[in-house]
Amino acid sequence: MSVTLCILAILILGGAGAAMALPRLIHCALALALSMAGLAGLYLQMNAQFVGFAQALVYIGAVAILIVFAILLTGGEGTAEVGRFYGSWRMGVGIALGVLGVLGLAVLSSRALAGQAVPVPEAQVREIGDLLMTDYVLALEVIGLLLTAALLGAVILAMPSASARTGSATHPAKDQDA
Amino acid sequence: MQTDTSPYLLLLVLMVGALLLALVPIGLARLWALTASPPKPGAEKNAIYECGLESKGDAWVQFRPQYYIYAIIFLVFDVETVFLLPFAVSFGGLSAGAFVAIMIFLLLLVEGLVWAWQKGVLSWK
Amino acid sequence: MSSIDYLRLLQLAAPETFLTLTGLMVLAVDLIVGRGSAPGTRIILSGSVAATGCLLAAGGLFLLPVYGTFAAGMLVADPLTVLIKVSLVILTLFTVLLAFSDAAPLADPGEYFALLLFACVGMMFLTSAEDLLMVFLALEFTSLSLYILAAFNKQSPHSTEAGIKYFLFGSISAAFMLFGLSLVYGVTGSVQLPEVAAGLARAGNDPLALVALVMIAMGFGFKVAAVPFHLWAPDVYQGAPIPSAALIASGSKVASFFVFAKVVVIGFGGAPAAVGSGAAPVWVILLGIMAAVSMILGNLAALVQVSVRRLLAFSAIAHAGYMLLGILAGTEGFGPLVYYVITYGLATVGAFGVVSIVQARTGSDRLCDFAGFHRRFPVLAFCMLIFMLSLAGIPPLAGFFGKFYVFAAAVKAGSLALFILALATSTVSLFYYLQVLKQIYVGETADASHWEPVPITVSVALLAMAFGVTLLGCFPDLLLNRITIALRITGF
Repeated sequence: MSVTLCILAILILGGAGAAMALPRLIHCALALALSMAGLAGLYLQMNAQFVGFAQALVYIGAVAILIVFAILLTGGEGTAEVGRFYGSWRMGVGIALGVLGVLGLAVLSSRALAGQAVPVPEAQVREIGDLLMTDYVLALEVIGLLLTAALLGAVILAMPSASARTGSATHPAKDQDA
Repeated sequence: MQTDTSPYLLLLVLMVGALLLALVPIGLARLWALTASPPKPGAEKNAIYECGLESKGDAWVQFRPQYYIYAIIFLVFDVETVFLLPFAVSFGGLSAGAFVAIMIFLLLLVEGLVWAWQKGVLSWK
Repeated sequence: MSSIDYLRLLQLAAPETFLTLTGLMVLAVDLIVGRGSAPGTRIILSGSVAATGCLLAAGGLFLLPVYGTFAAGMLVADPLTVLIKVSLVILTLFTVLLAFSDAAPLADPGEYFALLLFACVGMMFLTSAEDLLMVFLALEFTSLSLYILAAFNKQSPHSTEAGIKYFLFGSISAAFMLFGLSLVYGVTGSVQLPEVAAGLARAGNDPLALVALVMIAMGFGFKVAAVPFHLWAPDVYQGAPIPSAALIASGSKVASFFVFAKVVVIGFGGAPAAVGSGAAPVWVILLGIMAAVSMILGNLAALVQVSVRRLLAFSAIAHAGYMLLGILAGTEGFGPLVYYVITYGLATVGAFGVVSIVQARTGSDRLCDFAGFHRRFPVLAFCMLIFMLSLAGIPPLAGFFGKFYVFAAAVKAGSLALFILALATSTVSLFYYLQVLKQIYVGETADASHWEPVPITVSVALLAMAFGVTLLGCFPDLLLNRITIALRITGF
C-alpha cells in the first residue's frame, strides 16, 4: 500500500518538477504526461476506477498530445534564452513552502478529518451513471455546453484568420511534409 | 489470482514488459556499439552520408494549425466518451427522459462538429 | 434510483434552453444565410437574431416565471433568481446591441454572438445553482466563454493579451476555488449549500474550513476583481473587444457577486465564528480587508489613468470593494447588494458603449479623445453624464441609492470603519468621473464634426440604459420592492 503510494508520489512529483525544470519544452510536455500517468495510478490505487481511467484517457491520451501539438505549432522548440529561473524564484519557493505548511498544518489539526476512518467509497461506474443521468443530469448538460463553447472558441482562436489565409496562400504547404 | 493482489498488477506487469521490449534492444545495441565500435568521431565521419546534401536551416517547421484544430476536436470528443461510458453502463435502468438528456448532450457536440465542418476548418487545403 | 422529472427540469430551465437554442441558431444563420455577405451585413443579421432571442427570453422570464427547485439545488428558480436572470439577459441584450457598433471589426460575428449568449446562459445557471458542483461548472462555463470573447479580436495584440491574461489568472483562481470546494466537501461531506452550512456549523472553528474559505474567496475575488486578485482587470477591460469587456464588467459581476454572497451568507454565515470569544468570524475579517484595499487601491489608481477603459477597470475594482460591504452585512445587505450590482452593471455597459463610439471614431480611448463629444453627439453625451454620475453616486441616479442602501446596511451590521472609508473613497471617485465629463463637455478639440453618425441600435441601447439608470434612481422602489419581496419569499 504505502510502497505503491511512494512510487506514485515520486512519479507525480518528479514528473511535475521535471516539467518545470527541463530545458527543452518538448521534454517538459512528456514529463507532464508522466506526472499525469502517476495521478491516474493514484486514482486507481484509491479504488476510483472510473476517474483513474478517465484521467488516463483524457489527460495522457488527449491533453498531452494537444500540448505536444501546441509546442510544434508555435515552434517553441529550442531552449529558452532567459534563465529558467527568474530573479524572484526564491520568493516563489518561499511562498510555496509557506502555503504547503499552512495546508499541512490545517489538514493535520483538522477535527473534521481526524479520528473517523472514512469507509472507502467504491463508486462503481454504474452508480456514477445512474447519478449522472438523474440528479446530476443538469450538470451533464452544462458540461455539454461547456465542451461546445470550448470547441467553438478553440477552433475560432486557432483558425488562421481570413487575411492570414489569403496571405499565406502565396507560399503554401511547402513545409507540410512533416 | 490471489484476492489480495491488486487488480492492476497485471496491467503493471504488461506495462513494464512493454517498456522492456522497447528499451532492451536499444540497450543491447548500445552495449554492442560500445564494445565493437569505440567512438572516434571526426569531421569526415560525422559528415552527411556520401551523396547526401548539407541540410540548411532548422529541422523544426511550424505545424499547420489544422493539426491543432483536429487535436482540439479530438480532445472534446474524448471527454464526451468519458461521460458516455457511465451512461452506457447504467443504460438498462434508465428512463426515456435520461435517454433524451444524453441525446441532447450528444447533439450539442455533434452540432459543434457540424459547425466546424461547415466553417471549413476541417478541410485540409 | 430516484426518479427524476425531466419535463419539470425542461420547464425550469426553459429560459436557458431557449437562449442556448438561440445561440445555436445564430451560428446556423451566420453560416447559412450570411455566407458570402459583407461583414457588416453578417453582424446585423446574426446580431438581430441574438437580440431578438434575448428580448424574448427576458420577456418570457418576466411575464411567465416558473418557480421550483430541481434535484436539491442543482437549479433553483425562485423570484430572486428569476429577477437576477432577467437583469442578466437585459445586460446581455445591451451588450449585443453594442456589438453592432463598428468599434472592433468582428471576423466571425455569428460565433461572437453565440458565445455572448452562451456566457449569459452560464451566468443564469450560476445564479440558480445552490450546489457547489453546479456553481463550479457554471462558473467555468461562463469564464470559458468570456476568455474566448476577450481574445476574440485576433487582429489586435491587445485583445490576445487580454484573453491570455484573463485565461491564466482565471484558470489558476479556478484551480484554487476547486481545491477550496473539495476541502469543503471533505469537511462537511456534502456539496449542497444548506447541508454545507450545517456541516460547517458542526465543524465549528476547523482550520480546514478556514483554508477552504480563503480559497473560495480567492476564486470569487478573481471573478469580481477585488484587490489582491484584480491584476487582470485593467488589461482585459482595455484590450478586449468592447462588448466583451462590457459583459465581463457587468453581467459576470452580477452573477458572480450574487453567488459569492449566496455561498458566503448561506454556506459560511453561521459557521466559523469563534466560539465564546465574540470576535468577528474570520470571513468577516478576510472580506473586510479585501473590501478596504479594493476601495483604496481602485479609487487611487483610477485617478491617474489616461485610458478611459482602464479608468473604468479601476473604478470597477473600487465598486467591487463597495459591493463586498454588502456581502459583509450578511442577510441585511443581500437586497441592497443585488440592487447595487444590477444598477452598476447597467451604468457600466452604458459607459462602455460611449467609449466604443469614441474609440471607433478616434482609434483610441484616451481621455483627450473624448473632447468634442458633446458638440457632435449632445444626446449621447448626456447619457454619458448620467452613467458617470450614477457610477459616482450622485443623488437622483440609481448609483446613489445603490451605494446608500449598501452603506446603510454596512453601518447596521456594525462595520463603521469600512463605512467611513467607503464614504471617503467615494468622494475621491467623483474626481475621475468628472474628469471624463470635463473632457466631453469643455475639452478643446480640433474638429469632431466629421465623426460618422452612431448606428441606431447603439444609440437606442444607450438611451434605454440612461433611461433605466435614471428611472431606477428616481423610483428605486421599482426594483427594490421586487428584491425585498423576492427575498422575503425565498426566506432570507
